[in-house]
Amino acid sequence: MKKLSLLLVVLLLTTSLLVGCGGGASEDTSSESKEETVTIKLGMWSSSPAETELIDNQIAEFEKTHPNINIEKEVYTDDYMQQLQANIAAKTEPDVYYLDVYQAPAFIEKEVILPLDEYLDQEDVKDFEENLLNGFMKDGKIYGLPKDYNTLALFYNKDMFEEAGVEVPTTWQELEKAAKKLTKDGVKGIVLSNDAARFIPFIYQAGGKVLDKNGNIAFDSEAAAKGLGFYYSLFEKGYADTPQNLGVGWNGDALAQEKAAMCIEGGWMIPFMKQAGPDVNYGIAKLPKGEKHGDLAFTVAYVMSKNTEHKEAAAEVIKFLTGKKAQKMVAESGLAIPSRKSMAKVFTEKYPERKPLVDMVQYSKVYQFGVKSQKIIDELNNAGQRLQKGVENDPLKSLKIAADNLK
Amino acid sequence: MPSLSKTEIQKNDMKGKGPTQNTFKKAKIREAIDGWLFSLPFVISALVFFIGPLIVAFLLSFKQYSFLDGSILDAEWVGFSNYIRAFKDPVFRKALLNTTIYAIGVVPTQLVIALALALVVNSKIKGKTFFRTAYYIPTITSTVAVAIMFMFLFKSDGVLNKFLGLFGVNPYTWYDNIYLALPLIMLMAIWSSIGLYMIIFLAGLQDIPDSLYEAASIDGASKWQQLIYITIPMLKPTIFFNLVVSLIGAYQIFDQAYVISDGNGGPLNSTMTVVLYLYKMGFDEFDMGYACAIGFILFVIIFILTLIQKKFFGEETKM
Repeated sequence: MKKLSLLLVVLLLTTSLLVGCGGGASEDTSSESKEETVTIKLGMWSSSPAETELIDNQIAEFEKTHPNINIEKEVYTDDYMQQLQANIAAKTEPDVYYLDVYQAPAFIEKEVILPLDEYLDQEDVKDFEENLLNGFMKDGKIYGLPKDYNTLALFYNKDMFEEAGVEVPTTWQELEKAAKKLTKDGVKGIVLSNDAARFIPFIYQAGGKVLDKNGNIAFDSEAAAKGLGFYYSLFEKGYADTPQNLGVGWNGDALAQEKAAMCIEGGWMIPFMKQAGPDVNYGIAKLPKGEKHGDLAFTVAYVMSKNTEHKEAAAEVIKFLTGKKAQKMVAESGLAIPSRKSMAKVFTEKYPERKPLVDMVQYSKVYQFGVKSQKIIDELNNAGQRLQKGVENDPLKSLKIAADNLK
Repeated sequence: MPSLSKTEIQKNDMKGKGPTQNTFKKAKIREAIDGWLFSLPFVISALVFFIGPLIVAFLLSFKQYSFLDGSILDAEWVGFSNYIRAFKDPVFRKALLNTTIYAIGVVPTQLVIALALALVVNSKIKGKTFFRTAYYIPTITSTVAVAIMFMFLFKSDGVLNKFLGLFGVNPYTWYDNIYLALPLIMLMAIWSSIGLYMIIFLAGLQDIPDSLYEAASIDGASKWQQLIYITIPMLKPTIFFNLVVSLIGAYQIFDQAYVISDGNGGPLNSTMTVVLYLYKMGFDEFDMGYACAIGFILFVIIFILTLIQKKFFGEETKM
């Protein structure tokens, strides 16, 4: 009898534990009323101290004007996509979170994020750069507001240019000439990585496309091959090399360690150079032009989870963090370019030398290729690597192999 | 367990009640309850964290599912199409080929070296404790740290290239070469896991009674003959165990490939392994159903390979 009652107690304890787990969450929501303070969880990846400070200041500013809404940061320190997906499956994701533009199509298609239109002022939305906003739109609905962006530009070592007597290149021909002249004494003219995110601008500049209007593969074209071919011809001629072969971690590192005279990177170079190459005298220029201008834009938006209990409050948070006040703080921090046109001026006035990055946005397409973004990028990376490793010498053939693999 | 029940019965005897069928049954039931109660924490955690997920993953492998889809129950059944897709998928086939080459390269090499090291540190040389520790250290080092260290050794201005540079060889980025990246990972795996297998061999060696060697040496057997006719046969269960564990580990290679290739299995899929591909499918390409199918294909492969090994080593080892 004693043992039986003991068993009962144990069973009761275990079941109550299990019930306790489930009950907690539903309780907070039921006891919620409009007047009470609500807590909005804001999901983000971990970033540099400077960026953390910026977001902390933005949140402090928000809480000043919105006493009823409390923002709780949830920083993902592991692989962001992996953790976020697991949370989404368990319906425990944050109410508002960062979403990179290249994952946006899958999230929109699977309807895990909500359209924001009903909370937005249509006039105000026009202030956002259309190119960026389009990355978070489907069927005319807006699913995310971009928080900031970066484009690619040409970063070059001013001293090396001066010494070699080279002007900043503005066309492909000039780029090739400059790279040729600058390649000497163990320094490469330009560092280029085997990375679709760096050579796609050349495909655009040659008049090529990655996807056509209907979202079908369109990179197996003469024009795209011309862009890719030009990029890898710089390797073949010996004016360019990969960061790996130069013994550095990435393109920016090659500039910081003066192993290359030019590199193609974005605004994230600026804080990096301050730290890794404070003595390097570098400049920023627009990407050279092929048949026309072309570039990629990288952007991240705030999106709203479909599982949020507080849609109104979450929308307030998103609107504030992408609003003029918060965007002004982004502009002044100089970490990235504010996504609002009205704030771009604040940015370029404070940091005139970074204007080329802002100028490139009009020629840019966002780094996003539909629901299959990842697969397309993998195949394009392989197409590039085949050329660099000499497995295939014809850029068009290499692109065709990639296109075939995607069928 | 049976010995316990005997004492119970004896206790009952002492109280004067006869060991009737009834009390015997009661004692047995009570014992079963006690047993389950004691193992309850493990049973629950195994059900929740191991068997449950296993069943879910198995079901998912027949569904079109991504974590973004929400409920698993609503996901569409697609029959065997995830499995069929895997066999048609050139990248998966490449991953399977890479993993197999890796296993063939790593498993025998690492076991032979580990056995040799175990024999060395089991002999009566001076400073054997130091060697035991030294060989074991790589095992307890994080694989990611090891991978990064290897990248430093092999990068274009790394130690190896600096050394080769003394002989006038041009610097080379070893892990960026489609033919060398995988062997590099193999080398890394062998180096970092030898210690573990060495320790297990060492335990096996110490179980072999000295009297066997004494008898053999009296009979005039050489050291080599002792190794072939005493050590190896006596070590058979340990060898079997190490072989199984090492092969399973080899087929599950992930971390090193992830770090060396920056998560994409490059250059040109030359370091794409089955688990890395599974990870990419599940988390980068939102295709958890397909990822689960790949996981079960891998499970079947490992299972068959283990059965084959058991056939070869099985009779005497009784695992």
